Amino acid sequence: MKAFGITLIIVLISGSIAGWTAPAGSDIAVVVSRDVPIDDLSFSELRKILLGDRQYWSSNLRVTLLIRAPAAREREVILRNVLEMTEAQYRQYWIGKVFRAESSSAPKSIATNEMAFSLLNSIPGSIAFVNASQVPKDLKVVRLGGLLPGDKGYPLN
Amino acid sequence: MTIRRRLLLSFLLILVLFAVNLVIFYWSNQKRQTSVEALRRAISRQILISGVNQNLNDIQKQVTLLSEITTETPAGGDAAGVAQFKAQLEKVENQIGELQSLSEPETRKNIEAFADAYRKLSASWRIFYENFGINQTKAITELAVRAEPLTQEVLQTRLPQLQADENARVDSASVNFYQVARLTNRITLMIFAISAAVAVGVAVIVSEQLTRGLTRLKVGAALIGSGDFGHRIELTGNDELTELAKAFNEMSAKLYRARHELTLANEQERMKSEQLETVVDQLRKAQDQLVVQQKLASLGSLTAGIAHEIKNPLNFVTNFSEVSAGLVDELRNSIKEQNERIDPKDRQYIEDILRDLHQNVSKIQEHGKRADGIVRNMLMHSRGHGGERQMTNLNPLVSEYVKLAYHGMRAQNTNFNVAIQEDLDSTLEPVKVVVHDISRVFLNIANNACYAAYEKKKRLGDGFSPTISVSTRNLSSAVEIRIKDNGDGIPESIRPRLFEPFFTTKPTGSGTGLGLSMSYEIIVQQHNGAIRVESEIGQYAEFVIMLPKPNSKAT
Repeated sequence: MKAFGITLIIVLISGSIAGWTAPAGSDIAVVVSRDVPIDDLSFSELRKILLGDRQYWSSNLRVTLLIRAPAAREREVILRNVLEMTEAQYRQYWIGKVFRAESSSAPKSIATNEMAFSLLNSIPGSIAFVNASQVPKDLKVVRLGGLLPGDKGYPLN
Repeated sequence: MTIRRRLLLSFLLILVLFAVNLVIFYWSNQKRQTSVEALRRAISRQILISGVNQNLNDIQKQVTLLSEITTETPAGGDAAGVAQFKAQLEKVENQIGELQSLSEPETRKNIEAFADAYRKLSASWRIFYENFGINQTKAITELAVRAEPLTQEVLQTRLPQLQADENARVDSASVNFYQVARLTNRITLMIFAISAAVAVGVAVIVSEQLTRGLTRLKVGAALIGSGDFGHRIELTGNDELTELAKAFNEMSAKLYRARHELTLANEQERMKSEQLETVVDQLRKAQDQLVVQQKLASLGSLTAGIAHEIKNPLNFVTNFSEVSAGLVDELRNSIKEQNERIDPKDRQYIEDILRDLHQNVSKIQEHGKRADGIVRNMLMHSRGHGGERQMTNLNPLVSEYVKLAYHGMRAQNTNFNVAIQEDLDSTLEPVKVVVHDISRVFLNIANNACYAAYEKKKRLGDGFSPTISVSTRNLSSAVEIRIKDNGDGIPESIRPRLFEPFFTTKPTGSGTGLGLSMSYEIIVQQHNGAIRVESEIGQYAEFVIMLPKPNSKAT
């Protein structure tokens, strides 16, 4: 437990100085792996996924949440627009959820969008939030409330 | 069965019961230990599974939070961190190995499946940890693609299944433990109770048999001790008590025989003593009779001498008194012839003298005759009785002389009256007696009876009826004559002297005291009979005369 605590502190410090962030003003696209059988998500469904309340896409396809490390714009937009939480609140929320054993998995912190794209291709049921302008064409972008990035009223920007 | 064998068998039975109790005790202990061991193993597995669960949850949380919180950290690739993480995994693996060693055959398959799943999960976690912070993409991919499904399988399927199984096993072992405890306790108590009941039963039976035998012996010994030598102690079987009872019975029989012999000896001694007493009594009676006879003989001789000496002068007295009386009469007649020549005064004086003289002479004559009668009686008494004996029926004789006595008394006193009751045995056999002497006896006794009854009549007046009862009975060897009056009876103090000569209770001049003395002599000495008196003061006096039959011995 002591080793685990030390590791956790190191991780928290290192996470705060994560690398590249999305430029201000661009929309944040919701990207999923190709095996995810959903094209459109409501705002509340997105919120449930981010809070770990929805953990399966279908009966045998788990949700793997890929989210940029702290200080990235994508993470900031998600926390602010969807969850209305600060970074500390979000961390505290997931620590509590994991320790209460309410979830067997947690959001995976990723350092770069490229890494997200790579993981989206390799992890079935994964979902990531990246700058819409950087999304490769072979990835599946999910509508959010029927809106795609760039549409008027798209909530993640 | 002997008492020794009975006690040995009882002891052996109790030993067997003790052995059965020991076996049951060790069997129960073994059963309880087995059930406790099963429960302990189940609880140990449950604790191990809980420990595994706790450690896996810790690792899972560590991995989860590590993957969520950081992206680039040296912690994942840190050799010390990796070693520490691997140590955690090995610790869980060791716990699973221990769990496998404790597993039961029926749960071993599930534990093997769990161990396989864990090994895969452990391998996946190692890959994640080794690549975390170095090759983040590979680490997260490994975690998301392999580790998390395996974690879900291990923590949410396999491990809960194992926990449920072990909980069920603990519950089952616990229930089994209590059931075994109850069962063994019941069996132990039941065997103990049965053993106690059997032991008590054996003790009661053995003691009852002993007590019954001893009680019979005690009662029998008490009876024999109290003199009941005919008592036999009834005991069946072939034990020591029966042998003892036989010995008691034999002793009792010997004592019975000895007492019988002693009783016979005593009886013989008693008979001899009685014979001796009879002989002594007969001797004493004979001696008394000799004394009486000597006394009476001496008295008779003396009386005969006196009577003989008195008889002659008395004859002169009586004869001359008669002559004097005749002379007085002649003188009176002569004086009557000379009546005119005698002065009347002198004549009267002479007549008075003659009258007195005649009275004196008459008195002399009267008392002279009375003295003569006494002297004749005395002579008769002293001379003995030598009349001829002849076979006589005593019924008419006694009846006649009782009536004669009555009429004699009545001739002297016209006021005398008495009722005579007769109960004469018609079968009375004749006996050989001197009739004249026996008649005197009856007359003497009847005279006395009439006198006594009349004296009582004079005293009591009309309220008393004087009665004389006469009865006879024909006995086997003698005839019995009873003459009874209802007068005042004879006091006990004077009864021994009744038959002495000159003993009388009548006033002077009324009796000589020779009647009963003479009667005794006639009955006892002359006829070899017996005479006795029975009396109750104020009620009666009865003379009983026994006269032997001709062919019988003297009474």
